[in-house]
Amino acid sequence: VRPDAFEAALDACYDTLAAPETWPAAFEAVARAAGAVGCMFRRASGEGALLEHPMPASLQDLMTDYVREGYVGNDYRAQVGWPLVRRDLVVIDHDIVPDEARRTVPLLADLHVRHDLPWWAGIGFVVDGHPWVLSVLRNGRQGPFDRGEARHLARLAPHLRRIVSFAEKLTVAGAGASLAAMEHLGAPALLLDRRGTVRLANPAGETLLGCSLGLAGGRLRAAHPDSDRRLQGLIAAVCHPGAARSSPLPAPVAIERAGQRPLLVEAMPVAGLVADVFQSLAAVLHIVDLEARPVPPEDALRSLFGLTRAEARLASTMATGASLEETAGALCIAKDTARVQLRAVFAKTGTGRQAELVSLLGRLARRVAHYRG
Amino acid sequence: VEQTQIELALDACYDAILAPETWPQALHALARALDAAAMIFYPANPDESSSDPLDPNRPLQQSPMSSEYLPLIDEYVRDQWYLGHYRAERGRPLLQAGRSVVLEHDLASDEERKTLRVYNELYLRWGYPGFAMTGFRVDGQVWAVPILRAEAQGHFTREEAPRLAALNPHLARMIRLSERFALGQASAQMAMLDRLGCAAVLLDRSGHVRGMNRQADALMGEGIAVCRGVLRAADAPSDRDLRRLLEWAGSGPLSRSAPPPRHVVVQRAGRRALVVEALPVAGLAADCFGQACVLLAITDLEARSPLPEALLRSAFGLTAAEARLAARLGAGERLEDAAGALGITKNTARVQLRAVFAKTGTSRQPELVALLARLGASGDLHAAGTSGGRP
Repeated sequence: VRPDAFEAALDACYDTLAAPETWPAAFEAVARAAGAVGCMFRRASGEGALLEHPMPASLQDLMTDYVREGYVGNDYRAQVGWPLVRRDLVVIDHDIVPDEARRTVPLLADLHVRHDLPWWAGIGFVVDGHPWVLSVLRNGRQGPFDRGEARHLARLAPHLRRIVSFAEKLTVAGAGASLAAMEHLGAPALLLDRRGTVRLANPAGETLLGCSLGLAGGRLRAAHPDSDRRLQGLIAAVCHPGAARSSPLPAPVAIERAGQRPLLVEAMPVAGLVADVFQSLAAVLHIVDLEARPVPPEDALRSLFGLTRAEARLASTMATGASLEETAGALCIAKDTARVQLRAVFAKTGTGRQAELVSLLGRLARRVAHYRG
Repeated sequence: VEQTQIELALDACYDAILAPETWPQALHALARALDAAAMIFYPANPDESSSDPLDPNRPLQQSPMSSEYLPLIDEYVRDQWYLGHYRAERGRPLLQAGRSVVLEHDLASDEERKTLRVYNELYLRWGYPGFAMTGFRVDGQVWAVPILRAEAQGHFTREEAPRLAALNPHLARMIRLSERFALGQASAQMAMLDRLGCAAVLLDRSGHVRGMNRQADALMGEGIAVCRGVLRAADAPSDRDLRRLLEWAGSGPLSRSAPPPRHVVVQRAGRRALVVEALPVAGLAADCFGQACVLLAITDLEARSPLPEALLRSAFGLTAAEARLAARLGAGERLEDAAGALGITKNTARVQLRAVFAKTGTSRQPELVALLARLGASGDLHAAGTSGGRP
C-alpha cells in the first residue's frame, strides 16, 4: 500500500462525480495506491446487472467469466465476507478463508487462480442504508493483504460513501428534472427505481393516483385485475437488468376504469435521459388520461391568433371536440352567433374545419396548457 | 472530534449542491467546525477594465455563504466596502500567485490595523476581528473563501493554515459539481422534451445558445436560426420579441425573480408559427455560482406526421387498417383525403371510421381528433423508438 498515492486516488474518485465515464481510471488509481491489480464496486445486496457497472479493463475478463460461470449466486467471499463488512470496515481474505479452504472453494481454487487474482480485500460502506463493497484484487506476486494495509484502505470508506451517495442523488435529481419537463407538457409521470418502487411523481402524476391506479407498499398497482397483470408485466420488463439495451419500447398498457376511458401507461428507460452510473433507477412511466381534454388557455389563444375574448372562449370549448350546438349551449349564446364567431376563428387560425382546428389546438394544448404568464 | 465535525459539515455542503437553499446552514456548520463564525464563496475575478471589482455576472449576495455572513454582505455591497479593501487588494495577488491560505497577519501589521478604516468600521463593528482566506482555482479562475472569527475566537494562527488548506480540494469540487449539476439538470430536461417531441434550447447566462435537443436542431433554418451564438427569428417583429425574451434570460439571477415575458410567437413565411417560451427556472437548479441557464421550449404549430399505428392499435384495439385511417384523421385530415391517400374507397373508409368511433367511444370526427390529441406526446415517443432514434 502506498499512502502517498492515496490522495491522488481520492481526487480521481471525486472527479468521477463531474465525469462518470472516468470511473475506470479512478479504479486504476485506487488499485495503484493499494498495490493491487484492480478494484470495482459491488452492492453487497448483490443486485443489479454486474457487467454494466463501471469496472476497470484489468477486471473485465475475470468478471465476464464470473458471470458466465454462475458465480453471481455462488460467491464464497460474498456469502461469508460481505455480512462481515460493515461501515468503514475492511475485510481481507485471512479474515474469512482458512488456507485449507482455498483449495476446496471453486471461486478461489479455479476462477481467481486462472485469472491470477487470488487475493482480496473488501472495503465496506453504507449508502442510504444499503451496504456496498469496494472489492480490491491482487495477483500472486503482490500477495495477500495484511491487517495494517486493511487499516490504510479503511481511510477510503467515508469518501467512497460520500461519492456514491452523491452520485445517486445526482441521478435522482436529473430524473426529477425530467419529470419537471413532463409536468410542463402536462404529462403525468412517475419514476421507478430498479426494484420497481415508485421514487418520484410529478404533480400531474400525483393527481392521477387514486382508486383505479394507486400505490401499495411503494409499488404501482391497478385495481382492475387484468390491467394490473399487464402493468406488473410492463414494470418487470423495464426493471429487468439490461432492459435499457433491448431496442423497441415496450407497448403501452391500458388500465381499465369503471365508467371512464382507460389510462395508458408507457415506460421509458432512464438510460440516455440521465447519467445513472450505478443503475439505481429503471424507468420513467408516462401516463395518458384518455378522459382528459386539455385545452390551451384562452389568453394564449388571444395573444397567439388575435382572437377576441368571445372567440377564444368558443375555440377553447370546441377544442374538446364539442359540436357547435353543444358549444353554443354551454356558452349560452345563439347558434348563429356561435357560427359567426367560429368563422372568425377559422379565418384567424388559418383552418377551415373543426377537426383541423381541434388538431391545431391539441398541439398547442400539450405545450402551453400549463403556461399562465 | 474536530475532524469528525469537519467531515459532517462537508457532507452537508456536498448535499447543499443538490439543495442550494441549505447552503447557509451547511457553511455555518463548517465555520463552526473550524471554530469560526462565518464564511462565504467569493468569486475573486475582478473585471480589470472596470473600477468596480465586483463581478456583475456573479452577484455576491447570491453566492453561497453561511447564515451569519448575509447581513454583513448586504452592508458590504450597499456601502461599497469592497472598494479599496486591503484584504482584497493585498490578499488576492497572493492567491493569484498560488498561495492556498492567507491569514490576517499576512495582510496588515498589528500597528497598521489600528487605523485601517474597513477593519475598524466594518469588521470590528460587526464583531469579527479574526480573518483567514483560502484560495483555489476552478477552470483557471481564482475563488476565495473568506472565513471570519468572532471576538471570543480570536485570530487564526499559522499552525491552523494546513487544516484550512486541506479544505480547498473540497471547496473547488463543490463549485465544479454545482455547475455540473445545473448543466445535468438542463440536459435531463432537454432529453426528456426531445423524447416527447418538444424542441428545447439551452441558454447560458449571457443569453447565448449553449445546446439544443434534436427536435430543436430540426427546426433551425425554418424561420429561426442561431447566428453568432444567438437565437434569431427571420421575421423582424418576431425577432424583436424574441430578443426581449433573451434579455430576460440573460438578466441574471437577481432580476430573474420577475416572471418571464409571455410566450413569443415567431411568424414564418408560408407555414404556421413557432411558439417560444421560457421554462420555469425553479425546475432548473442553482445558479448560485453564477452559472445561470435558461431552457426555452419551442412549439411548432405546423401539422406533424400522423400518430404511429402500433400505438393506436395497442391503445384502442384497432385493426391495422382502422389504425391507419385513425392516424390520418387524428392529424385533422378530411375523410375523403385520408381515403384517397390510403387507396381505399370512401365507403370502405366510412365503414372503418364507424368501427373506430365504436372502439374509441366517440361519435364525431372532431371528438376523435380531441381524443387522439392526448396521444400526441406518446406518438413522438414511439415514432422515435421505432425509427431507432433513441439515444
